[in-house]
Amino acid sequence: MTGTIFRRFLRRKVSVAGAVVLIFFFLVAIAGPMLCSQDPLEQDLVNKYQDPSVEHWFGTDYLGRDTFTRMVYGARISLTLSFTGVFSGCAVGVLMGVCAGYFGGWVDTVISRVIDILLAFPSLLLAITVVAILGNGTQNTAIAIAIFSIPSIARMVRGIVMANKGAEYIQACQVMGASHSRIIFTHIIPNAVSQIIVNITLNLGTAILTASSLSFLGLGVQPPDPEWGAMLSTGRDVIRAYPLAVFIPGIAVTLVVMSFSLVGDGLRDALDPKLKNG
Amino acid sequence: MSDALLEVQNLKLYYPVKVRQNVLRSETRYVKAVDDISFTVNKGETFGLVGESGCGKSTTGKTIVKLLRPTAGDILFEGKSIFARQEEGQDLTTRIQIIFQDPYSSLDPRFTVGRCIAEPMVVHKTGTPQQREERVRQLMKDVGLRPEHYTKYPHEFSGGQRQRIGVARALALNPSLIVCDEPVSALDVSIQAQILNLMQDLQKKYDLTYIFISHNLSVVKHLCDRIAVMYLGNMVEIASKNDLFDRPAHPYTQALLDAIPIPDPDIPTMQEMLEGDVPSPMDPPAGCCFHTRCKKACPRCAQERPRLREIAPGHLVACHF
Repeated sequence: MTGTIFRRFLRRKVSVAGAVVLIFFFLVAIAGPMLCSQDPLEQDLVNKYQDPSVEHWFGTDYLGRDTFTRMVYGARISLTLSFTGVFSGCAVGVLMGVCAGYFGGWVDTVISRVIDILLAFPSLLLAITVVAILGNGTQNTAIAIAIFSIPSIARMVRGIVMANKGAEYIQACQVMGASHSRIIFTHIIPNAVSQIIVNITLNLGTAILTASSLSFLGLGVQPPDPEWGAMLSTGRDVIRAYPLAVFIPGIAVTLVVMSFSLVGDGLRDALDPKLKNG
Repeated sequence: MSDALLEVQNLKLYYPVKVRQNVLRSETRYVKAVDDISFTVNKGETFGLVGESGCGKSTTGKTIVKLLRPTAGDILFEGKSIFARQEEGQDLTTRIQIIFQDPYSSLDPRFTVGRCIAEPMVVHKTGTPQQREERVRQLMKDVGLRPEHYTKYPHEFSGGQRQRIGVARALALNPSLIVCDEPVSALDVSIQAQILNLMQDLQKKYDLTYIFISHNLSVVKHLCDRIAVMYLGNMVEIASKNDLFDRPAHPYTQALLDAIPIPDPDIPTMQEMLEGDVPSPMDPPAGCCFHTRCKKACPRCAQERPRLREIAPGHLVACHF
C-alpha cells in the first residue's frame, strides 16, 4: 500500500523536485553547525556588505556577519518554528474536528462557531493579534502559527468525520460495544490520516511564510537571532545598493514555501484513494 | 417451536423533523419510522422481516442491536430489557450482533481481515492475543476464508468474500441472535446463494437465531421459518412461511406475493399491480395504514386502526377483514 503511494508520488516530477529541495533544506538545518565555521552572531563591522567570496559564500550583512551562516541557522529557526507550530496546531485542530464531527449536537455548534471566528480573520492578522496579546519572541510566534493552523484542519477533519461516521464499520463497532475513544482513535482518525498529512504539508508552507512575515514586521523572532524574515527586513533598507541582502533570504523563503506546496499537492494526489491506478 | 428469545413490545421510533413554515416559525413533526410494532422471535428460528424500502424494517433491526433508541416500547432479550441499565448490559451486546447490507462499507479499509474479525474480542478483552488469533483462524475456516487471507485488506476481496468477513466478525463473540440487515441484497445473484447457504450451515453449527431483514421474498422463502410483513412502520402480518405464502391474509401481503416475478414467460401476468405510492411516514393515513391503496378498503378502514389478531394458530393479521 505504501509502495503504491510512493510510486504514484514519484510520477509527479514537480512534487519530487519540491521534495528534493525540502530534503536539502532539512539536511542543511540539521547539519547546520557542521557546515559553517563562523558564528552567526559574530560582527565584523569592517567587512560589512561584502560580495560573495570564498570566505563569505553569500557575502556579509550590515554588521559584517556571514550571510551563509545566518541563512543556515535561519533555516533551523524557520523550520523548527513552523513544525512545532503546525504540529501542535494540528493536534488541537484534529481533536476539535473529531469531537465536533463525531458527537454533533451542541458540541459541534460550539466548536464550529469557534472555528468560524478563527477563520473570519485573515491568517496573518490572526497571527499578529496573537503576538500582540502574548508579546513577540520565538515561542509566541510558534503559538501564533499553531492558532492559525487550527481552524482549517479542524474544519476539514470535522467534514471527514461526519462523512465517515455513518459508515457501517463504525456502526459495527458500536454494536460490538466499542467505546467512543476506541472508535475515534482506531477507526476515525486513521481513516483521515492521509488528508491530515496533506493539510499539514500545505500548512507548513503558509507557516514559514507567516513566521517570516511576523519577523519582517518585527513581531516574530527578535534580533540578533537569524531569521529569514528578519534578514529580509534589514536588507530592505539597502535593496538598491546591496540587493543580495534581500535576494538570498527571499529566494530561500520562496523555495521552501513553494516546495511545501508542491509536495502537498503531490501527496494529495498520491494519497487519493479514488485514483486507484497504481 | 421453543420459547421466546427476543420480544419486541410496542416498539415506536419517531424521528423529529423540523418543518419550516415561514422565516420565523418552524414546527417539529415526526417521521414515524416504526409505529407500534410487537413481535416475538423464538430461539433457533429464522425470523424474516420483509417490506418495501422505507417501511421501517432496517430501523427495527438497528433498534434491536441498540444502534437506535426507541421513542417508546421495549425489547426483551431472554426476558430482560436490552435498554435497562444493568451489569449484564455488557453481556447483552455480545449476545446480539448484526450483519450489514453493504460489505463495502461495513469493514474498515485500514484493518486486515484478521484484525477486523478479532476486533469484537479485543473490545471485550476476551482471551489472550494467541487465543484470539486461534479463534479468528477457526472462524475464517468456518466462513470459508483461506488462512492466507488473514493478513489481507478488505479491498483485496470480492463482495461475497467481504460479506464472509462480516459474518465471521459477527460470530466472534459467540452471539445467540444475529440481525441480518439485507445481507445479500448488495451481492451478485450467483454469490447470494453461497452466502445464504453458509448462513444456514452456521446456524446449525452455532445454534443461532436470525432476524433476517429483506425485501426479496424469494430469499426469505428460502431461509425463514416465520415471516413478518411491514408496511409504513406497521406490522401487517406475521405467519409461518407456509401460511404466508399459501394463505396470505392481508391485502398488502397478497399484492407483494403477486409481484414476485415468475421465471416463465409463458405464464401470463395476471396480478393486479398496486396503485399509487406509499404515503409519507411523516403524515401517515389515519386508520389502517394501507387503506389508501387497498382494494378492499371500506369506511371503517379509514377510521379505525386494525390490531394484529390471530386468524389461525400463529398467523396474525392486522386487517378488519
